Amino acid sequence: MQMDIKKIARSLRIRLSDAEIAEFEKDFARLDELSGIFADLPSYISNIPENPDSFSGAALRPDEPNDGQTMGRDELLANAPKLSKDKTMAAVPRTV
Amino acid sequence: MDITRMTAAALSKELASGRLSSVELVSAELQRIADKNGETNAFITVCADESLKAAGEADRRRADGRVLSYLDGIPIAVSDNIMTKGVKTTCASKMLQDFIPPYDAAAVEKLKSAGLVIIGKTNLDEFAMGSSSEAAAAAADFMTPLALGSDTGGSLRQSAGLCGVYGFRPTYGAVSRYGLAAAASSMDTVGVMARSVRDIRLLCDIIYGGDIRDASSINIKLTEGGKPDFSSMSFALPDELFANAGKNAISAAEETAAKLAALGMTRKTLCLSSLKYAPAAYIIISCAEAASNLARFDGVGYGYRSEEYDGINELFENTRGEGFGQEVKQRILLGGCALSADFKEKWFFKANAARALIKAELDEALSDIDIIVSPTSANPAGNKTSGNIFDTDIALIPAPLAGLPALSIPAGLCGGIPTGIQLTSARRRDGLVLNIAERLFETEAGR
Repeated sequence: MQMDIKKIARSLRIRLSDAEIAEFEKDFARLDELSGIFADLPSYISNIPENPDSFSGAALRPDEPNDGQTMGRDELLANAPKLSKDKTMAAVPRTV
Repeated sequence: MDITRMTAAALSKELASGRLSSVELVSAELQRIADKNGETNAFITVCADESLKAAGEADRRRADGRVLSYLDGIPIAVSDNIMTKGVKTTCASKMLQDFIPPYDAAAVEKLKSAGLVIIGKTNLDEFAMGSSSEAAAAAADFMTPLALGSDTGGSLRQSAGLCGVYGFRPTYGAVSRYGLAAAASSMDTVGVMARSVRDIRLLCDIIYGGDIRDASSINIKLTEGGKPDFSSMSFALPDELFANAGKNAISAAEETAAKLAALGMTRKTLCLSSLKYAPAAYIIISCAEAASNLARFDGVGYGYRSEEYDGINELFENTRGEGFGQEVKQRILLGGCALSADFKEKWFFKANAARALIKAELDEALSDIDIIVSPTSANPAGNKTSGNIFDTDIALIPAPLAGLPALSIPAGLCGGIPTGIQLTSARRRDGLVLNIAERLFETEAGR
């Protein structure tokens, strides 16, 4: 399947030169070829969950010990930044 | 003795004895930077006035008996993708060329609370997409005894290996990512560089810890109870991490293996067949996350804004087209493709499945084997690191994909260029990695 790099660039709001588009088309083809290795994934793991979580690669497993000091959902919510009056921006500096 | 060549631990003793003041130390490092930065371009910003002021405060605290930590008054360089309040933080990007953060990163807060003196901000590939080599160069060229950097796909470890210093990537989450400019959030890790293992440990003791502002952060104890019983431990050198490795890298790894065996550790065989998926999985996931994270740079809230535009859409497109460099645009484009309706199942979902397989294999292996030994870079030392994501090194990416701690150790010269050996262990076993490295090199003084 071919990817329309111009279309993707537009949706990502990036203006590209023709030379850049040609270069990225090559990158796309290279990654498409590289990802062909996934055809070898064992069937038991290639059943992809509906909502795969990138963080699952590094986060704690359910059976891993939690020392009790790692934050839970309730604590996170209790300490969540409060919205400012206009409700458009959290009342803390934005993280870059 | 040239004080710029001493380790942080040795400098701390000098400060405690009163033979050296922090102002003298920081002044010497600033002079070294003035002499050398023209060659290495290691620093983007040098905090001369601020660091001398902070050093003076450290000296006054010491005189009053109010020392904040073992490293109080010791200078440190901070990578320019880690927020420092009131000090320009550019991520080496035109997009943030004049950005001055209104807050400190969590790790920087901890450094300041412990009395360390931030001497400057070190250079890097744009948004750390490639290398942290200048932080490593600053430590290697004696411009600072300590450096704080970041490791997403191995940039910190590779740079440390190629510069002949120690570089440590902690377990994912061990150090808060609050205030670290996000590149690939599920792999981004704040890490440390130094000229001795002891210095790495001292610095980790300060910056480790859970943080309410980073939901992925966890608490890890660096000190394991009692003396480690190496005779009950094992290690392995999996072939998959030696792909393309040169003779010298292989012999350095074998030398390390011999030292581990001499400690009483058992060598085991290990096959990590799932690593064949690692390069594709790493490229797709890291690009997808970068595309998402860098969407915030649009010329509206802060940062660079194009001067020529007609309407809001053109403002976005021109700003991002002009503000980002080639490598960053490459990753955003590839990430955008990976997340597109046409390709997310073929690329992104498969990459996550492959990552789960890799993580499961590594978890299982590291439940039986304590340490994996490999070259820091599987590619021969001296090959230029391009920053192009397709040049990703197989030895560097298992740790980020599985959230593992990994330490690059200087392993001598290869064709006149430093090379490194990497020790990797299971999540939360950061203390073990440092214990073993200290034991292996305890008789060798830091450079």
